[in-house]
Amino acid sequence: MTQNETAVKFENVYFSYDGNLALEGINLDIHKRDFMGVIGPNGSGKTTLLKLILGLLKPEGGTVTVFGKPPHQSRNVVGYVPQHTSFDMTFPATVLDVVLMGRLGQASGFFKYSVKDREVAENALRQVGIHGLKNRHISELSGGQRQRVLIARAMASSAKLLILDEPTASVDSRNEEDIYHLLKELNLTTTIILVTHDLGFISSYVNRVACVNRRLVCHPTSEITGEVINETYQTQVEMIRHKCGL
Amino acid sequence: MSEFIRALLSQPFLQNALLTGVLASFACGVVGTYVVVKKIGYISGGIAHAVLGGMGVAYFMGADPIHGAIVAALLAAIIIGIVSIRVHQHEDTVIGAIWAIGMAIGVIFISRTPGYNVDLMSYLFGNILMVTKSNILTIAVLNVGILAVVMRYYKQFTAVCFDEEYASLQGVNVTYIYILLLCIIAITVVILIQVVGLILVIALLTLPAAIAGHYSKRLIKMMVLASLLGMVFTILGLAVSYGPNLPAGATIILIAGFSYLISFVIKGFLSRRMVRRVRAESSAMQK
Repeated sequence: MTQNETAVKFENVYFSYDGNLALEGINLDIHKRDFMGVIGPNGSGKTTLLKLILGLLKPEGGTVTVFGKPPHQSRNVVGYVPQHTSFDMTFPATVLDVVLMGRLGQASGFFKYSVKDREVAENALRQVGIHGLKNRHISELSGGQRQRVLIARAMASSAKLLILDEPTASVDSRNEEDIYHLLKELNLTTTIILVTHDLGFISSYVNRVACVNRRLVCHPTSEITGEVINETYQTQVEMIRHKCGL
Repeated sequence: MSEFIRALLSQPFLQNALLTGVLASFACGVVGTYVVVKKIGYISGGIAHAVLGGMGVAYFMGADPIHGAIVAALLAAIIIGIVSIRVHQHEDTVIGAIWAIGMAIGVIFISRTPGYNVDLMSYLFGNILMVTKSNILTIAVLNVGILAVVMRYYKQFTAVCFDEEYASLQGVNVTYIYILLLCIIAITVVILIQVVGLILVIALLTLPAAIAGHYSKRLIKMMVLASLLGMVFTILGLAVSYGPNLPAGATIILIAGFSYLISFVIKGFLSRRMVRRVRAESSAMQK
């Protein structure tokens, strides 16, 4: 097992929604223990890219493999962190209840989760630093804390690959930095793919950047320049910065 | 009230009614909780009304209407489940159609049944005082079945209700679990129809669970509380309606509805107070 073994591979992948091409001729190699940032304007196909890796969508052309297998066969080693605004805050569940749902793929037995499942879930909460909140209801959390709950849920499924969709949307900047710091720690053992708008921040954490705008261009972080970003967004960087509130 | 208790001790039909109410509360609280958190009250209403079709056909053929109800409820649940997953955009049209077609079939078959004309009102509004010993046995068996399935699939049902996408990423067969949940709801509806009839059933399914939701941080707590509330409402409804000879089903629903309203106001008051306290705390911290 070398460090450069492939975690995710896209080979000439095409995808369209109702005849509108969303992704075109995507070739991408994500290595194990990469921390890859995916950037691009709204509607550029970033989320589509993630859903192809998760196996929620099937490519119309080309192939996607995750740890050498079709995506739906590797789901048990992939942890997904959706945007936290997407779920129902009134649902009667505590922090620990939500994280335990990350054990569902592994859990056996009826009704209750096992002692081992609980241990794994509580460990995940310790790692993201909110173990003290495990009995809180999910509505009694700040945006940053909610995001940590979702990261813990993804980690509870013993993920070798973490996929995050704009994890710092609607999180204040101090919490944002904490979350990136946490991800950097997790990256010691886990491959991470992160979709974001925050161009400024990610460059100090990720080691590679994929710029998506229907097509995909991949760079090591060091190569990210204003020119590259302009090409992706086809607009001025200042505008992007302004949009992100950076 | 003392009149009700005296009658309860001496009248078997009242004992049957009470037993039915108590039994129904378990399924009502547990399954009603899923209906509320998944927000599928309209789907449950569609299943409930379609049941009249099955009852009418069974009645026409001389079978026990409750058996016809079970078949119709399951059929409606499966059709609605498949439609809501496959063709999401026409979901409400299809539910509305099944709702009305089921009722139309029921009305036609009941009108074609020769001999003594059945009291349609007792199907629509229930007649808990007419429940027979054999009905109670059927209800008890269905109850045990429902609770067993919920125990077995508790984690899956909960995960699908909270976050379908994540559940499917965890390898849960969301389509299967969702249709199974609708089938459980269908059977619960059949049980509750014995208590309040098919028009009022949706209130008994959702109101106790909705009240319980105001005070529950966890799903399991909500289920227990909703079952207890369902029990209180049915017993209270029976007791209140007995003296002045009011329809029991409608009385039960009025008590449940009124309680929901009160709870809603209390909950609003409590959460405003909590918001004020949190604000006070955070501004104190800033000083």
